[in-house]
Amino acid sequence: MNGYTLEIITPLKSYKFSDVVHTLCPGESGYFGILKNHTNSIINLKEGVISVKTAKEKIDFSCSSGIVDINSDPADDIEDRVVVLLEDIQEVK
Amino acid sequence: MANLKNLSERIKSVTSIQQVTKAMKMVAAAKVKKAQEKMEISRPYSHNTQELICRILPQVSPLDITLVEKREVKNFGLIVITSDRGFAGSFNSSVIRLAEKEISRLGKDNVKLFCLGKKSSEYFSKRKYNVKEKYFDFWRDMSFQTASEISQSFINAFEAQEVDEVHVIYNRFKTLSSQELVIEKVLPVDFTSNYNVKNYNYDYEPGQKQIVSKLIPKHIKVQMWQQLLESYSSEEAARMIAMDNATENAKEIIKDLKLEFNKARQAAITTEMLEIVGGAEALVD
Repeated sequence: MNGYTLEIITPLKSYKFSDVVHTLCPGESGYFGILKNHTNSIINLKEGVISVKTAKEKIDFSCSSGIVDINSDPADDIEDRVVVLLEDIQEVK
Repeated sequence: MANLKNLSERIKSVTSIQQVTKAMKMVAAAKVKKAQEKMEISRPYSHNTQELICRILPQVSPLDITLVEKREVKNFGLIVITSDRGFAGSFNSSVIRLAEKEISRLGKDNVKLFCLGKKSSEYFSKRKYNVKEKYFDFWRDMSFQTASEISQSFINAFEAQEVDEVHVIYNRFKTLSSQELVIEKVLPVDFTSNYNVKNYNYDYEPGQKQIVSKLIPKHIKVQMWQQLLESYSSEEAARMIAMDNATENAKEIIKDLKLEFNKARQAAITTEMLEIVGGAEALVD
């Protein structure tokens, strides 16, 4: 698998993507991208659009503020996954 | 004949009550299932939020985060979760009884109440308790937003030092036939027993303190959401059982009334026959 696992979790629904190539997130100081092997980080998110690009598709979500927990650094022996915690999310068609 | 008519009307009325209680039981069963599904969906959010807080919090001074700050307790906040409607057995009365017990233990003047549901709001307002906030008529269209608003009200009270500790009393769903009445501490939040001491190297943006300060209210809100769902499931389960009992009782009453009706009808027939025979004998004479 070339990508990583991404989970977008809200109190009302959850999405899980495997083999994610790139995710664009609205950070408090501007948009940033997450590729495989990103440094382990915990970052606050503001309202905006999250774009998820997997090997097969690209999906956009409009989201509330939240937090992203990135566990992708191969230097650490922790599960390779990115978790986005949000209060609300809507898929943009 | 008047007795027969009266009995027949009573049978009809109890039968229609039985139909209503049967329908209410079925509606309650469907609502329990829906609330259970919502509770299941919210669990990963709750788990991940708590896990993240437990990972970061040991690296931050507790004095920097208001919502974990332990202070001398002078004023208590008590969240009492009841329903808006009755017909649910002892669901509401048991919550109110425990709340009253707690209030008398802590002192009536030291407790500020946050009443959720019409039953507790009316009960405590009428008796001149110190009701700080009342929320009702939200159960039917309850959303996560409702839980957020309620949580924000007691978070604000805690931050403004109007209350030094907040507890919640509600019915926790165990099975369809049993609910557990619980009292839990909500504020200040205590994660010490769950701390993840394994410290990985993370980059934080903007900083650990800001992230935890944002995460803890989210955690409290999702806890509130789950407690509301637990209480709602328990209410509907209690209603389901109450309505099942009512349906069974109605069945018994109908059985007794039918027996009484048949006896009365038989007595009327016997009387009529005796009258006919008596009349015929009088004609022969």
